[in-house]
Amino acid sequence: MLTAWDGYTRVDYLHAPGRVRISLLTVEPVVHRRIRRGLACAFAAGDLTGPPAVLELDVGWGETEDLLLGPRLMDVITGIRGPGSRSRSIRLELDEVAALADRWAPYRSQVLGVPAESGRLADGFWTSFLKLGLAKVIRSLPVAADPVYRAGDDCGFAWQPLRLPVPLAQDAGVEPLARWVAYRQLADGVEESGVVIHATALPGRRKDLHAGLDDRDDSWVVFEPDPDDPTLLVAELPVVPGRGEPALRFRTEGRWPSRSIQTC
Amino acid sequence: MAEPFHPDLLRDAAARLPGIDPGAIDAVVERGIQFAQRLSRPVPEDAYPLLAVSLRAGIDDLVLATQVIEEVSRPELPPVLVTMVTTAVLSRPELSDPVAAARTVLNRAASRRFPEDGPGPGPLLWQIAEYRAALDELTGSEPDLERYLRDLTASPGTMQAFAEFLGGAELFVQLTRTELDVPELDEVVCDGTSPDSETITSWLLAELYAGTSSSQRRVVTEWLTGLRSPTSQDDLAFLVDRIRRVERRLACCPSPAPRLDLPELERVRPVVSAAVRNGLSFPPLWTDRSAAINLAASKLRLETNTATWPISMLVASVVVRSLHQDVHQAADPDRPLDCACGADLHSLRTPRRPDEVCPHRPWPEPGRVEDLTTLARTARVGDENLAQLHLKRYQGLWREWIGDARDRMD
Repeated sequence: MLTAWDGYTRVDYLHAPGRVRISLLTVEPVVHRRIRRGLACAFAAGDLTGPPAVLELDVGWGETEDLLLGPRLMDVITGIRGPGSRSRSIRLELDEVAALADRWAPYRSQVLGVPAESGRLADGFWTSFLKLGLAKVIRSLPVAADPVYRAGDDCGFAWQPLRLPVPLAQDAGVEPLARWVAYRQLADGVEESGVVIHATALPGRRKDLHAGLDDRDDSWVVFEPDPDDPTLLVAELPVVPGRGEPALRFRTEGRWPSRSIQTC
Repeated sequence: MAEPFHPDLLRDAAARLPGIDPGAIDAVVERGIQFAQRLSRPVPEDAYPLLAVSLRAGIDDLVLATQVIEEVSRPELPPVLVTMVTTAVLSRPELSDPVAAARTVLNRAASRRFPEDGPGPGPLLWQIAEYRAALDELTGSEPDLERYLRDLTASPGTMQAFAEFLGGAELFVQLTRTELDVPELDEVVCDGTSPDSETITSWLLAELYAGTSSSQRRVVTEWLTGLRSPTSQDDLAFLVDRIRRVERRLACCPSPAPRLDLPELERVRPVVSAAVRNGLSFPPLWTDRSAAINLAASKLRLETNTATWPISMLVASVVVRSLHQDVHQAADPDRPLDCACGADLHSLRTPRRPDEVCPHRPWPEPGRVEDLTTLARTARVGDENLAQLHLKRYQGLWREWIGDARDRMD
């Protein structure tokens, strides 16, 4: 009987332009979840380290999908976006399935409802936090000339803690415990809002730590040391509260590489 | 369809069958014409003698299915699904070109919408439902994907149940039946003498091939002769089981060793003999042990209903290791979260001494790969005591291979 680890994979180009579905044929029951606009996935409910069993995603928006899917799947997707066959079967080798499972770990923990894990990239780690309530907090803030700061639900002006997965924190050389606060202000009559995130640098080697919203636009800001306190790392991320609650992503690595990803 | 088929060649072949009478020859040719129509593909000239035998024996369904499977198989498609789709197509006589029909079914594009958030059947069941929908469309009936998925979810979830759902299960069962034609070894009494390398070689060959079907023997032979890719998933759990049989046997090789009479042994014996003389170096079964553990654990969950994820990971972590690797009986609560070899954070790994526990050892590196602490961490069970308790209580597949680890842990 087949499981996702067998690597028998089906890639379908769906009717929506740019949307593909990737299925790793498994008989194990799955849990489905729409992560955000342009990304839905399912993971085997009984496999806490498994690869995604189903992925449905819009490709062509950023580099995230290149990075998370890996070169083999991206080549297949490029192939079926042209004229001709709209579906393709491929066999992923065991190491490729394992790499897929490692890269998608943060979404797997979101879907299966376990604490946030690190996803492993070719040269670093990443993770994503859902349900922080960023947009809700921002909407609850008054719009004033001076910035108004407030953290998550019912916490007044206190900072909201955020526990980074240990491998990601180690790779970046920061304390696992970070914190965030939302702000909203009028600057020259223009409304601005977003979150400020603080991390604490540990002595010794570290890679850059980046934060971004988990959306199709794929934009990132890098944490910079505070001029007065170099152990304090600060990132400011503009957030315009719109439809839905954005998830917050973190990653190490100097750049978000594309096309040159190693599969294992 | 005007495909080349030569009834005269079939008639000649049938006439050469021993003890056949003229009436039976006519019957064979008559069936042969129907067969050729069903196949809708040329019949190669050298296939007529075999075809005549099959037609006379009334197993032309099997021959037809084998022909279609050969035509539509591709390495990226699971063989069991190709067989299932073929037998489903052949169970619908109105599909006049089974090869084309099977290809259409196998290539059908996904049509189901991504479901709402929550639990649901695995994508293999979606795929079977899509196959059924494609078969419906080919035969002019209206598909009902959601009902199919409900039916499949309620089924026992075996390949045979899926074949019954698609139609043609009887033929599917015949085609996928595996018969163990080499018997299991008898119990032996260890005689305490130290065996020579010839005896050990014979014993290992017996363990590698005992209790197998012909297709399993091919898997063993391809592995031993270096034809198997170390990144392949196919039959990995079966081969890990063979490794453990070999390991168990090495402790007890009384004289004389059993002699198997198998044609492949001529080719394989020198390989195993060389391995015995060179420190038991068999070709690698994996490049990344943790990936092999995950694959084996997923198979254990399907085979053993009671194996939850932690238990399947515990058992697989104990069993999936090369002949030179073992499980340490102790716990090490002081072990840091990162392995000393550095594989957790960096792609480059530093080899460790054999007496250190390192779960990341590659296939040929001898030494300890697990202890109770690494097992408890990998399987995410609370602590070492719980890991040990789970292993002690385990009664599912591979229980005989954790017995050693279990006993040593006492």
